[in-house]
Amino acid sequence: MRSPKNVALSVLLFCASVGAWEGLVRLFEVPAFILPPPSQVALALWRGFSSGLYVQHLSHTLLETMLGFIAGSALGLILGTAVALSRPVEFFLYPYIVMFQSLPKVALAPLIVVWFGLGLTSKVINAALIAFFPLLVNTMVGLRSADEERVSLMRSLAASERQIFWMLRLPNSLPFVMAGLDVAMIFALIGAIVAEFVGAQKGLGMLIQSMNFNMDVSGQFSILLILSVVGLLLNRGVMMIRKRVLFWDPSEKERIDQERVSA
Amino acid sequence: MIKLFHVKKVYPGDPPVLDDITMRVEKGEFVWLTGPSGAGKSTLLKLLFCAELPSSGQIIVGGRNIGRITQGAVPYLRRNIGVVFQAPVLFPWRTVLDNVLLPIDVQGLGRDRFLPVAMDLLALVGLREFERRYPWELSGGMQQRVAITRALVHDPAMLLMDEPFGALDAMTREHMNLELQRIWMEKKKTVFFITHSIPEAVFLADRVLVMTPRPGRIVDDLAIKLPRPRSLDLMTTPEFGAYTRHIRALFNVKGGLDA
Repeated sequence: MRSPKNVALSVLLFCASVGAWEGLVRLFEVPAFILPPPSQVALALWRGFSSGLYVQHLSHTLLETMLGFIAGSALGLILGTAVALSRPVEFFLYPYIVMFQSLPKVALAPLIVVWFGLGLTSKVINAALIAFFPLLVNTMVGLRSADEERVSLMRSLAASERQIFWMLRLPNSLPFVMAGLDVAMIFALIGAIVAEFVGAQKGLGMLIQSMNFNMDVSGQFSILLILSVVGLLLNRGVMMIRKRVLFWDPSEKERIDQERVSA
Repeated sequence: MIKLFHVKKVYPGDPPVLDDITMRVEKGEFVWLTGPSGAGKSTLLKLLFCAELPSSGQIIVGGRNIGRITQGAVPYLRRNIGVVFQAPVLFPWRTVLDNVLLPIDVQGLGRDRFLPVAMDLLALVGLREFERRYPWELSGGMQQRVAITRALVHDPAMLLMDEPFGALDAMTREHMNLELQRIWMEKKKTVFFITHSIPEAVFLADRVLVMTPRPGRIVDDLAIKLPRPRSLDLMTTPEFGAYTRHIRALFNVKGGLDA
């Protein structure tokens, strides 16, 4: 697909749609607080970055996201392992996990802001809480999905349960864990933004709200643009790690092969 | 090396899987156990490395009665056994060499000492150049050769093989059987091999044990008196035909299905 001709076509298509957007907004004199033309969005973007305003809020949101991602993933990994390995832990904990999982976690954001304040802590906790579940579930499933034949091979070699865990179950769970990290990364960003909506002094989510209050729609568009690029880059980061760790995973190989074919 | 006396294996509510099995395998012998599907061949093999325990009877492996073995002694027993399963069961995150060294890692035998052993064995099965490759880069036949190498690396006295070439195509299978004969003649291990293919059993075995199902019993113990090394031409000789006909007749009398 990625022939020079198609790339040129794709760029042309992008320019045409942005041009059409600009043209239509001007032609029908749509007010800027309903739908701003792309030129104004670009202007807002430039102003935001040149004044340092966006960088400051962006770095704050990124910090919350990353801290939440790390804390939530680590906790999910540990608890998922505990549930997978221990029947008592599973028996006593699993019902609550299931109950909690069916709850839309963003609904907890107001409560968390009340408990942990307007600062960094509440955002990190909210991000971690949302990022936690995909890791928990995937670690649990991954550790339990070791192939029966491989387990019995390990047993035939006189492996202890501990060795079976480190040499088989853990590496075997990595495709699941990486898929969990993939989701958790984006979830952490959502968690941070939602918590900022509820109450914050800094961050892109808080900025969106204050712009909304001032009917600065082109400003909001510019931040949505930043957020989608950030989401994309974070996702790419996880994918890059995944590719290195899971070079042996069939689904990963397929993807690499496909990319090779299309390149 | 292996002795079974009146071994019975029963799962509650079913007819016995194994009924009154008495057999023995001498040290250095190449013994094949053949029988139709469901005759209890795999169950019998599992008893030999304590993956299952017999309902009654005595099993002696390497001088130890493993019918009454304590859990603590199982690892000791297994160190003297190499098992090759129907599938290669390799770990995709380990290279060929690391897969071969898995028993060494598990049993803490020291990689340094066994690295040359592993390399020699890989050369023996014709995988010298492939030690840094990953299993998924190899063909099915090559993967199974890695599995055989892994079963041999810790130098067990005995090799148990549960239809290891079942999933391979006919040509590769023949080739692997010849390889196995070569390895056996070079290493002089005790090999106990399970298959439902009569010609393959006759082709390679010193002795063929014939099993029939429901209940699983050994109905014949046939010494194959053909010269070694055996080549594929052997399969067209009248002696070979006589052996296979004899075994096939036993399958049919006892109602074997896929004989």
